[in-house]
Amino acid sequence: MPLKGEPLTAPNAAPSVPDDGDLVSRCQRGDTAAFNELVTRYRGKVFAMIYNMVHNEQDAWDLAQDGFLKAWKSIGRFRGQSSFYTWLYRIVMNLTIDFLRRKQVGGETEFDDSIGLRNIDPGSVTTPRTGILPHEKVTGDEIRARIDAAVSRLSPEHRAVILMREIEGMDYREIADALECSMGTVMSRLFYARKKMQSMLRDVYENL
Amino acid sequence: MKTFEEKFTAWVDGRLTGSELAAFERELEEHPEALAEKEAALELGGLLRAHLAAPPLRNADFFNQQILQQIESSVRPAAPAPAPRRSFWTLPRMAFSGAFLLLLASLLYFAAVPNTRREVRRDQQYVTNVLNAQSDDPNITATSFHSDQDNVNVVWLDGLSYMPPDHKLK
Amino acid sequence: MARLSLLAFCLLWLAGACPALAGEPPTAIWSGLVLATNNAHPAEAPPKLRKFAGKLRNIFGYNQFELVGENSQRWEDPYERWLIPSKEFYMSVKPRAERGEHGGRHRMKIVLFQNRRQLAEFETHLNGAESPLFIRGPLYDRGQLVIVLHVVDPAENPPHAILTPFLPRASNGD
Repeated sequence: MPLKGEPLTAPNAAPSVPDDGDLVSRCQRGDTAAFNELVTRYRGKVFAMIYNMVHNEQDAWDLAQDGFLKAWKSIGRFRGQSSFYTWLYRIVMNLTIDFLRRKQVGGETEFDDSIGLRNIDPGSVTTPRTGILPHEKVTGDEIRARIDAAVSRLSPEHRAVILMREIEGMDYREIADALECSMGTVMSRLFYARKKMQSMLRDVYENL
Repeated sequence: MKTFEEKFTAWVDGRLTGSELAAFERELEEHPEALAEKEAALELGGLLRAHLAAPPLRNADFFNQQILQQIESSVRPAAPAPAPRRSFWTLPRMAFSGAFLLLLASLLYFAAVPNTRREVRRDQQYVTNVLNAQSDDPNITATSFHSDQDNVNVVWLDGLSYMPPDHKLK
Repeated sequence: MARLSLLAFCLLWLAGACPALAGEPPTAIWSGLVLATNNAHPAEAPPKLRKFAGKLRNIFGYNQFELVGENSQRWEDPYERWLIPSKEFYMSVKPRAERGEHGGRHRMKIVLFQNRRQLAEFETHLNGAESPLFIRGPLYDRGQLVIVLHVVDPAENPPHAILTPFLPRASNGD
C-alpha cells in the first residue's frame, strides 16, 4: 500500500534502480541521500578489501569511512572517465597504503621487499620447507593464519595488486587506474607478489 | 616492450595472445619449470580466494549514519560577514550597558522570584529529567516519569517485541 | 580611566559567567545494558550496577541484575556521538547547549535504536550516577532489558566499549 502522496505504480512493475552515474550527478548537487545509496552499494566490498589489507576490523572500519568521506568531498571532481567504483577504489587504496606505510615508519609492521630481479629464477621450484611437515594435514584456521602472515609480509603496493587481482578479480587496467600506475608496473608487481607468496605458502598448499 | 616478468604474469593470467603468445612460449622453452610455476600461481590464487574471506561489515547502517553525520556537521552555512558600519554603540558603551542590564536583571530576580522556587531549582539542579519522549513507531508508546523516592528518571517503552533467549545481544 | 575600569570589570564578570551561559557539552556518558531477572537466590550485582540495584528493584520489580554490555563516550565538542552498549541496542546522543543551567546538568537529545530500528527519541537533562536515567527495554528470555545512562567523570571512565561474553544464568524458579 503506497504511503499518502506517493505515486501509484503497476503491481508488477520493477522498481527503477538509479545507476551510479545518476547517483553521482545527484551527489554533485549536494544530495546526501544519493551518496547514502552509493555508500550502501559499496560499503561491503570496500570494507572487505581494506580488511584484507590491514587485518584489523576497527582500522578497516575507520579507513572505509575516511575513504567515503574523501569521496564525498571530492565528488565534484569526478568526471566519469572511469566507473565510480574504480574511482572510489583509488581513493580507498591510497588511504590504505598510506596507512600501512605510516605503520611501517612507526615500526609496527615489517615488510620484506628484498626480492629483486636478480634473485628470481622463474623456473625455480626449490624452496626451503618451513612449518608443516608433509604428513600433517592443514586446518582451515591454520591456512588462514599462514595466508594472513604471508600477506602481511608484502609491501602495501604488492599486497594491493595481489588482492585486487586474485580476490577482487580486477583486470590490469582497473588495478592500474586504482593505483595510479602503469599496467606494466601492475604486472611486474603481481609477478613478484606471487613469487613471494608462493615461497611462503608452498608447504601449505602442497599439504592440503 | 614488456619485461620478462610482465609477459610471464600475462601468460599466467591467459592475457597473452597471438604472436606475442607464440613468441613467449618459444622463450619459455629455455625454462622447463615454467608450466609448473604457472600452475603454482593459479593454485595460489585459488587458495587466496578460498581462505581470504573478510568478515562482513557489522552494523552497516550505523556505518552509513556516521558518515552522513560527519558530512552534515561539515556542511554548515557560513555566516555572512557583517557589513562594517559606524554606530553610537562603541565597545565601552555596550559593555557598560550590558553590565548595567545584568545587574538590574539580577536585582529583579532576587526581588521578584519567591525563595521556595529558587530552593526547588537548587534541588533539581542535580536531578535527571526527561523533557519529552516519543516514538515514530505506531506500535510503541514512550512515556516518562520521575521517581522522587529513588531520584531516577525513567523512559518507559511499551509495545516492544519479546526477545527469546537464543537472540544474541552482542 | 573610570570607563576602562568598568569595561575590565564587565569583561571579567562575563568571562566568569560564560560557562553557565553557554552550557558546555557533557564530558562523558556511561551507558549499560542490564538484564533484570527474578531469582530465588539472586546473585550480587556487578560492581558497576551496585549503586543502581535498589533503584532498579524498586522501579522494575526484579531482584537480580547482570551487565550485558557497556559503553562510555567522551565529548570534547558539541557533535553527535554513538553509545553502543550492545550491537542490538545503541543510541545516538547529541548534546544541546543550554543557558542558565548550573554545572552537573547536561541536556541532550537521545535516539534509541534496536538493530537499526528506531525505537524512540527524547530530550533529557542527564546527570551523575546519583540521578541516572533508566530506559525500559523489551522482555528478554525470563527477564527485562533496561538501559542505564548517567554522566561520568572522564578520568574514572575512559571511553571504551565492553561487550561481555554474555551467558544468561539459569533461573532457579521464578
